[in-house]
Amino acid sequence: MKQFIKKILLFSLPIIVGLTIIFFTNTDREFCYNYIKGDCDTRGKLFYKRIETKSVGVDYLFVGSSKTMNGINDGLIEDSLNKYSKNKLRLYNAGYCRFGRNLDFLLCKEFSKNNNLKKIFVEVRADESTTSHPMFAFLANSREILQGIPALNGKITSEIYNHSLMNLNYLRCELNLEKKEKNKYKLELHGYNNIDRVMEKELLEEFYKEELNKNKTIDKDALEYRYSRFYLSRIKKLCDKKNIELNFIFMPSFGNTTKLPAFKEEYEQWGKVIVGPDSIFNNKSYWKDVAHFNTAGATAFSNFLAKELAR
Amino acid sequence: MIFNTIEFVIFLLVVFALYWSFFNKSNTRQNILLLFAGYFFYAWWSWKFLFMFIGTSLIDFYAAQKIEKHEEPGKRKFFLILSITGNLSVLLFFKYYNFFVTEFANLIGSNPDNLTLQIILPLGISFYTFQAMAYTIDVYRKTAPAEKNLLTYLCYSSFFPQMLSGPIERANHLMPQFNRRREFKYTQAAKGLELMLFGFFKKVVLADNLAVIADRGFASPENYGSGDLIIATLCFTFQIYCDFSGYTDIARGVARLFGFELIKNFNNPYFAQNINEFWRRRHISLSTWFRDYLYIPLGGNKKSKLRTSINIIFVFAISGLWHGASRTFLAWGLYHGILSALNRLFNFKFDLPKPVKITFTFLIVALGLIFFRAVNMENAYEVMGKIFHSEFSLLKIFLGISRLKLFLLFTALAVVFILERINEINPGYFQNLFAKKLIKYSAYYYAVILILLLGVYDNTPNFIYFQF
Repeated sequence: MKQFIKKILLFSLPIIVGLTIIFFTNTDREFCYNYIKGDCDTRGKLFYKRIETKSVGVDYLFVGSSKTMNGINDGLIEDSLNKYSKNKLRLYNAGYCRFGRNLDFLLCKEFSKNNNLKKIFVEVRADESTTSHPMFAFLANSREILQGIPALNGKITSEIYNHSLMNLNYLRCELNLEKKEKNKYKLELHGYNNIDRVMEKELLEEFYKEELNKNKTIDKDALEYRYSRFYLSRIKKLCDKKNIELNFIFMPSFGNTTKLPAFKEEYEQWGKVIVGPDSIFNNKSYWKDVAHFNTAGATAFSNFLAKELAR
Repeated sequence: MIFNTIEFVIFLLVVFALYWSFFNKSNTRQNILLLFAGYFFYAWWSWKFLFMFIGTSLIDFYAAQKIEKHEEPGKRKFFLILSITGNLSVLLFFKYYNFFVTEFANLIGSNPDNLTLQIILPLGISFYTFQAMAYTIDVYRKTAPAEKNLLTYLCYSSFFPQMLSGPIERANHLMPQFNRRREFKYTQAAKGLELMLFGFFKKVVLADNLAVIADRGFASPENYGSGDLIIATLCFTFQIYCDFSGYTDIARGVARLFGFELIKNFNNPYFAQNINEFWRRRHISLSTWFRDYLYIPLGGNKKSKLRTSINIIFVFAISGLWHGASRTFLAWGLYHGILSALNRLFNFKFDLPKPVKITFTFLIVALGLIFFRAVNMENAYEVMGKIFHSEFSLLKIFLGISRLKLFLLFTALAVVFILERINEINPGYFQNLFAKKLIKYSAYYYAVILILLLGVYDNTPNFIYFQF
C-alpha cells in the first residue's frame, strides 16, 4: 500500500507542478474578457474595449450590480455635467449583473490603470453582499484569487478551478489547438443599459408589503460580511493611492423600505453616501421589476445624481 | 456524481483512504463503507430517489430468500413475479409512462398533454433494475444461491462504480466478491488506475471532442451536405463507443482499486465481421442479459426459423426501447433486429477479405446509429435523406476547429483502436511492453498531457449512457 501511494505521489508530482504553473500563468487580458462564462449582455467584452481605448478616458466610474447597470444613465449625467463646464468629463457605468465586492474592486483597478479617474461611485444596497462574484475567477489574476483566502472566500475552490481552466484554454490557443477570439465589439462610450418596461403596480405593492413585514435585523459583525469588507477596504486603499474620490450610491429596491443601507456608518468612514429621494423610489411607474429601474426611473434617478454631482 | 468531475475525484480519494485503513479489518466493515459510499454516490444526484432504490432492493432480497426457501413451484413463481413486478413497475412508470401514453393518445387522436406527467427519470434505473431482476431469476432457476446476508446484497445492488451505467453484473460473479475480505494488491490497484486513465482519455479527449462535430451535424443537418453528415455520423459512431467503453473502463478501474473485478463489457465491436458478432462484442453485459432472460425463454433458436426471426426482432426492439422511450430507439432496435434475423435466416457468408467485411459491418452499424443519435424520427430521416440525396460537401463541419487539434484527435482515435485490437489479438503484448518503465510512464504522461490539452471540461459533458 505504501509503495502504491508513494508511486502515485511521485507520478502526480510533475502533473501538480504543471497545473500550478498553469494556474499562475498570466493570461492576456483580452482573452480573459472574451472568455467570461455567462457574460452579462457581453458587458465584459465592452468593458475591455473601454478600458483599453486610452484616448477616450474615464473620469467618473460607477460600479455595482445590475441595479447600477439599469439605474444610472451615465450619458445623461455626463451631458448634464458638461453643459456648463469647460473641462469635459467622461462618465462610465460599469455595473455588472449579480453581486460581489471583489468584482467592484477589480473593475476599479482595471479602469484606473489607463484612465485618470477622479471619482468612483460604488453601489450600496439595503444589505451588503457576502460572496465572491462569479466573474471574478476570469478577470482576476491568480494572486488576486488567492488573496481572498484570508477573507474567507467560500467559492475559492471553484475559482481556482475556473481560473486554471481559463489559463489552460489560453495555453491551448497559444499552441494553436484552439482558435483565439478577437474582441470584435465596437467601442461604446457609456455602459448604461436601459429597459423600457413598467412592472404591474399590484405586484409592486405586494412586494412592498412583504418587505415591510420582513425582519431586517442584520448582524453587522457576522463573519459572512468579512469578504465584502475586505474588498471595500481595498477599493478605499486603491482610491487613496491614486488620489481618487470614493463615493457610495444607495440603490434600494422599490419603496426603499430600509431607508438607509445597513452599513451606512461604515461607508461614511470611506466616502460620501448619496441617498436618493423617496419620491423616486416610491414611484410605481419607475420600475421594470422590484429591484431595477426602467428607463423613466433611471432618467429620474440620473437627473437627481447629476444635480448632486454638480454641487 | 459523474466520473469526470472534481467531486468524484474527492469522493474516490476519501472512500479509498477509509476503505484501506479504518474499514480494512473485515469484509463486513469494508461492505459497510461501500454501502454508505454507494448510497452517498446516488444521493448526490437525488436523495429522494435513494429511498425508492433501497425499497426495491429490499423487495428483491426478501423475494429471493422466499424463492429459495419454498419448493412449491407456485410459491416460487409468486415471489419471482413479485420481484419482477416491483422492478418493472418502477421502470415502466418512470421511463415509459409518458412514451406509451403519448403514443396511445396519438393513436386515438387525443391530446397527449392532458395525460402526460412531469416525471424525472431516476439515474441508472435501467441498469440497476436489470441487475436486480437477473439476480432473482437466477435464484428462481437455481443457478445462483439466494444471498443470506442483507448487507452483502445491498452492497451488490449499490456498488457505486457500476450502479449507474453497468456493466450489468450477475450475482454469481459479483456477489461472492463481497463475501470475502478484499486485500490490497499492488498490481490490481495499479492496473485499475491504468484502466481509469485509459477510460478518462477515451471520454474527455475522444468522445467529448467527437461530440462537438457530431452535434453540429445532427443539430442542423440543413446546413450541411452529404459528406459532412457522413463525417458527423461516423464521429458519433466513434463517440458513443469511446463514451461508453470509456465509462466502463473507469468503472472497472475504480472497482479494482477496491479489490473487485467487473466483467468486460466491450471487445472491439467495430472489428466485428457481421452484425451478430458485433452484438457479441458490444455492451456484452446487456446483450447476454437479453439472451439469457428474454431470448432463450421465448424459445430462442429452438423453434421454427420464422419463430426464431420473430424472437430476434422482438428482443432487439425491446433492447432499443431499453435505451430510451422514443420511436428513434425503437427504430434502432428494429433495424438491428431485422439485420440479425436476416443474417441468421440466410446465413450470409461472403467470400470477402476480412477488412472488407469489418468495414461493411461498421458502416451498417454507423447507419443505424443515426436513429440512436437523432432527437426524433424527422431528424433521423433528414440526416439520412441528406446523406443519400444532397449535394456533396466536405469539411464544412470542421469549421472553427484547429487543424492541429483535428490531427491529434483523429491520430489518437486511430491509436486507441489499434492498441485495443493488438490487446485482443495478443493479450500479453502490453504486459511485456509496459515491463519497460520508460515506455510505461511515457505512455501515461503522454495520455495525461493530451487529457489536459485536448480534454473537454466546459460544462462537463455527461456520459451518454447515464440517461438510460
